[in-house]
Amino acid sequence: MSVINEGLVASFVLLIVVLAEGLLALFLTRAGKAQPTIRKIAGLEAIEEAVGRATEMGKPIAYTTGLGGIRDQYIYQTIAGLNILGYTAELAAKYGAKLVYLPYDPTIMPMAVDVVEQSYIRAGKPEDYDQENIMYLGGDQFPWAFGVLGFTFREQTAANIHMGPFWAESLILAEAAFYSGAIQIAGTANYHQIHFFVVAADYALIGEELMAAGAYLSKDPTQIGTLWGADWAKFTTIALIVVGAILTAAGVSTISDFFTL
Amino acid sequence: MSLVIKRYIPLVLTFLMGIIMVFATYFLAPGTPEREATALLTGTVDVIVVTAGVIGLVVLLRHHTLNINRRGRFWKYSIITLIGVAIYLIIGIYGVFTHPTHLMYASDLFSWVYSNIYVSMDMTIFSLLAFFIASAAYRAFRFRSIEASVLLIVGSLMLLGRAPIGGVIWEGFPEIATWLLNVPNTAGNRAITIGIAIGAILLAIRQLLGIERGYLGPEQ
Repeated sequence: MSVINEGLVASFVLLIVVLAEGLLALFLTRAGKAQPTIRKIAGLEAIEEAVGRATEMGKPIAYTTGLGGIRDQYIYQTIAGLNILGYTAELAAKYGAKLVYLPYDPTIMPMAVDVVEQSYIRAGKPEDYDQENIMYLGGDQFPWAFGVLGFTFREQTAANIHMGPFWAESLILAEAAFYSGAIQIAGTANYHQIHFFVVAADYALIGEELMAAGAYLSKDPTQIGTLWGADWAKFTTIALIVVGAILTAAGVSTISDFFTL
Repeated sequence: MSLVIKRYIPLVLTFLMGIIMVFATYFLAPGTPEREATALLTGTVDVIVVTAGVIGLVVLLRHHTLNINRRGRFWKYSIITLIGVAIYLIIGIYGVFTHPTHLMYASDLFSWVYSNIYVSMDMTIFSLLAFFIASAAYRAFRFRSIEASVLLIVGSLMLLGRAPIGGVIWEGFPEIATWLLNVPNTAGNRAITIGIAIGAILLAIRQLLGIERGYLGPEQ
């Protein structure tokens, strides 16, 4: 009898491999033995531009983290969205722009309130923090999407930033911002919605770029080290795919059998 | 003390819960008492969800009440929102009172309002998507760069392949569309999915080890 639950052996082995590569890269970076660089992510660089635009125009920035809550499997995207919210709120506080966060799931609100408040304190502008700028619109997909759409048109937002898990409402949000003339930065790891953001938004974060955002914005070498580890994991995956395809074509099913374990 | 409550305790809890859930997923067989015990942990999330639901309602009511009091922008719509919330809340509570042993009971009136008002409005919003897809496609499908041109050609082939008229014009269009969907599209999707999975694992590592703490708010 296997110690690991049936059907999860390959998953566990791959998890350990990715973890080992990530941790090794992290420790090498922390020990100063490597200094990985990170390519520029246009979508994250554009946040400062968006906040600057909002400041100049005197109009608000609408920020959303998608349809994620704390009890679903998309929480990692929501957390990534909150990381970027902290950075955006700090910039907004520094520049004096109005940032309005429009949550979908009330379970995220206490975290978001804390993130935004801490950002204003860190920027040295605690007096500018206004809890009214965290505006709950309702916890159902299309009513929430229409709330964001209405806010975008009514307030004529200067910038709309959407970071997190999105579904069918993604294009409604993106097109609303386009028609209201807002600069738009959007990112999601829901692959079935990425193309909508790529087509309709000014800047789009594709899949893993969203997860890398926290490390990217922190400029912390240790965090960036783990992104280097992610590159190793991708090389390992590519090697497995290539070797597996060659072996399977040659009639050897060792690797494909391993993935059924 | 504040730092301990706001930062260290959440980090320790995140680490412990993460490790317990990974251990349970891989090493505790489904149906065993040990695995059921870990399911209780996930059940505690429901307590947070219910509490947060009340917070959401309070925030919504507070926002619109303040907007009406201040005669803020579009304050008349805030009145409609409050009336809508109040009516639906009363109908829901009335249904529970008629069946006190069944707290999730949806009365006929509640179901009627849901099916005939809420769902209709919901679907109206959803149907806007068709028009937005058309307007987004109009902007995207242009010969302005190599990438946009590829998108235009592939998009056109997909439209012809999936619309009934495409098969009438030429029977090869549906086959091309199926191939585009199953081969290049699947390859691209899998590449993105693998990248996302690896990114998510390493994001989890950064959070479990307390290296990435942005979700707790920036450091002071």
